[in-house]
Amino acid sequence: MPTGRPGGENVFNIGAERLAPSIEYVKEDSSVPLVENMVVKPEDALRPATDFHAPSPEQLRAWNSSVTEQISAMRGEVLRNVA
Amino acid sequence: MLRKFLRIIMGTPPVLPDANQSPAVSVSKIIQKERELIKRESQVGSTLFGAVPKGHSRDFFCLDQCTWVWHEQWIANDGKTNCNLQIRYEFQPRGVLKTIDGVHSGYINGQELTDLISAIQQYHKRVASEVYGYQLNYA
Repeated sequence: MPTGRPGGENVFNIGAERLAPSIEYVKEDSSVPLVENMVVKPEDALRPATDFHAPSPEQLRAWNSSVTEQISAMRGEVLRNVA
Repeated sequence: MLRKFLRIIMGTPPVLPDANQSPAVSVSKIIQKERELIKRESQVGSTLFGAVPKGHSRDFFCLDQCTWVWHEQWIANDGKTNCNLQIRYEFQPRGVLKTIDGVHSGYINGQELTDLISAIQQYHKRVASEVYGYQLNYA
């Protein structure tokens, strides 16, 4: 690869040396379980705890959509004032 | 008509805004402002992973409803070669697809997925507060 970095590498671990503090930072600040911001379907509540931390692609997509929609709405509000 | 008249009698450019030009000007202003906002968001995004090493520049931002972009640029050890790395994470029905410099590298899982989600949460919270002045309560 032209960048000299292995293709399958986790980007968040690239140059682990220099990113290590940042990874800690991200982890510390995001102590909220991932599922808290997602819609939990009734059947998910019945799953074992180990499975609870592995959101489905649909759940991830729905969660991401809600985040990006909020970001987009905040941008939109600023842009409306520009127009 | 009024503009033309003013131009004839005053010999100066029109003092009133050009009605034909303003929609285009307005659109370009909005596009420019949107770029500015994404740039400011990206500056916040770039700090989520700690200090950017000297000689490197990094961006991390929300491109659209499904896509997050990580971009890093640096000079190689030879001091000449300009290196770039662009990674896109697309939230798709089958999972989060990772694309490195335009080449699909599969759906991410495990630690990388957890880290991405953490980074997005932080981005959301900090961008809302530092760029748009909102306070989000995640907990």
